[in-house]
Amino acid sequence: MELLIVGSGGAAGACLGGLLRCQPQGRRITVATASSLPIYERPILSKGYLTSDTPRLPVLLDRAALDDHGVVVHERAEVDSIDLAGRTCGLTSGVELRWDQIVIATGSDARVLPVEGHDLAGVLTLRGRRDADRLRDHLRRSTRVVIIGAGLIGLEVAAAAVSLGAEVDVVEAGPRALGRVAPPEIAHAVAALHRQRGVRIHESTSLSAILGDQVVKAVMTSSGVRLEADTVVIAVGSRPRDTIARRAGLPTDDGVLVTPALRSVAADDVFAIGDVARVVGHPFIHGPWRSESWRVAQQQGSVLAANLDGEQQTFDAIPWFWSDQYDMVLQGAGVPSAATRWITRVHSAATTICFGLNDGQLTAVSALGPLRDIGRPVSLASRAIARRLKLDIAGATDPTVALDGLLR
Amino acid sequence: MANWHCVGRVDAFEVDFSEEVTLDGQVIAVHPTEEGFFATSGICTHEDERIFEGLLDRCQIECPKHMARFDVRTGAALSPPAITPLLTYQVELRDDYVWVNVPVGDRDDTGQSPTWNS
Repeated sequence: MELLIVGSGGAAGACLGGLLRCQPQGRRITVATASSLPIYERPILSKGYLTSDTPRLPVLLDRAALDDHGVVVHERAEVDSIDLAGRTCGLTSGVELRWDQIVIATGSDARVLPVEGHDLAGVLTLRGRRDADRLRDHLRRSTRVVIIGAGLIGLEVAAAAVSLGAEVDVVEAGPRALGRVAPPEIAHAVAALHRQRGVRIHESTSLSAILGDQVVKAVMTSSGVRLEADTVVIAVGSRPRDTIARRAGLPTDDGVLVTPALRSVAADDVFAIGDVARVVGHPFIHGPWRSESWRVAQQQGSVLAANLDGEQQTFDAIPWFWSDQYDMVLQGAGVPSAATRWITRVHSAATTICFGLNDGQLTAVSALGPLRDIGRPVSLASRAIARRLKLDIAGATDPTVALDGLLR
Repeated sequence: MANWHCVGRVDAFEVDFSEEVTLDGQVIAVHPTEEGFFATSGICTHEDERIFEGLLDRCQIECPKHMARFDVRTGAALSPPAITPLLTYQVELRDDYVWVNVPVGDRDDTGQSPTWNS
């Protein structure tokens, strides 16, 4: 039995981790990855990795661990084609790999903006560790940093840049920061943390052009403002790396379409996990859904490993994410887009917890504060979302009423 | 060598609310569950974080930082991002008090190794 895993990010790592716990006789695992070993955890790349004098990569699986389990790894190997009928996979190097089961875990690329000047030196994106090394190096030499996009990655990079002493502008096309991931109350509180530290956030502003002569010099915004810059970071989301799957004839729609068991909707023995997968039929999410979250990638990797070992699990976890914003933690769970109403619990001066409701039912939670104040409430709320709890609104907004009683 | 410490009255604990104690310099989490008391090392094996502030439910504790889950009865890492199990410590109830054994010197279960990288 030949199992081929294409990719080596967090989803592939979690899947391999699960598979290697009880590797049966007769199954051979091959990994083909465009990047190189080790398999590591990515979240730190937009956080402490950028600011630390001695950045350390959190390793999940290294060469020795994979060798020990007999996993064959093709590094820096771009997949050229997948042949579903013939069950082969061609690499651009000319190597052809045979498979009985194939896992597509190719992840995503940072989106680029098709504006003038996007290819100047000093215009960077952030996905993998090489990007992070480059960005780290640039931030240390920069006095003016402009970040395009006030999402989680954009704001984490802003925090890193300002703490390294740069002047930082963030340009956000939407009406507010964190538009996709947090309700207005929390987004405003996060933006306030940044403004306190001198980060300028320009909302409802898009990028007109990036100016420079080989090397970036400035950014022109849609409001006609020129922002001087020696580093520009484009942080406007990601695009799934699903081209090879699409060319192979697999159904894709901004990601490889998979069932909750993470199998292609159209092909047995073909699976997709992580940023490249779009799940059709998640019990808590209306419509096909693709995540860009570290935790979801891990959970999908674990579920698929169990299924490849003969279990029949489905990926039905409540989405959860976290972000470090200076000394505060932002956590969210559930489906913010499903909420038609948000209610706010002001836990303390530094801590705000918002609950998203749809017809009285808890669908999402978003919290900002010290970890000790928000970790447990978010965990409880996440479970309550899975139980489709009707939330007691009066209790939830009253900080003297214990959340354990309301959410358990 | 056994080394028992009294960590409090039984009725000072609430079921499903873990507490943290430091015994002989080691951070230990005490977990009162419906199946009884258990004790584990108190720092998440994924990243340094005190796990007692996480959610304890059906003998599983969830680290509040990145949602790693452990079985408090065995220490086993149940959910990524944790790979390495927590250490476990013997617990005994003597009269109305909870006692935890923090052995001195070699112990049997310190040899636990990561399940992925092993």
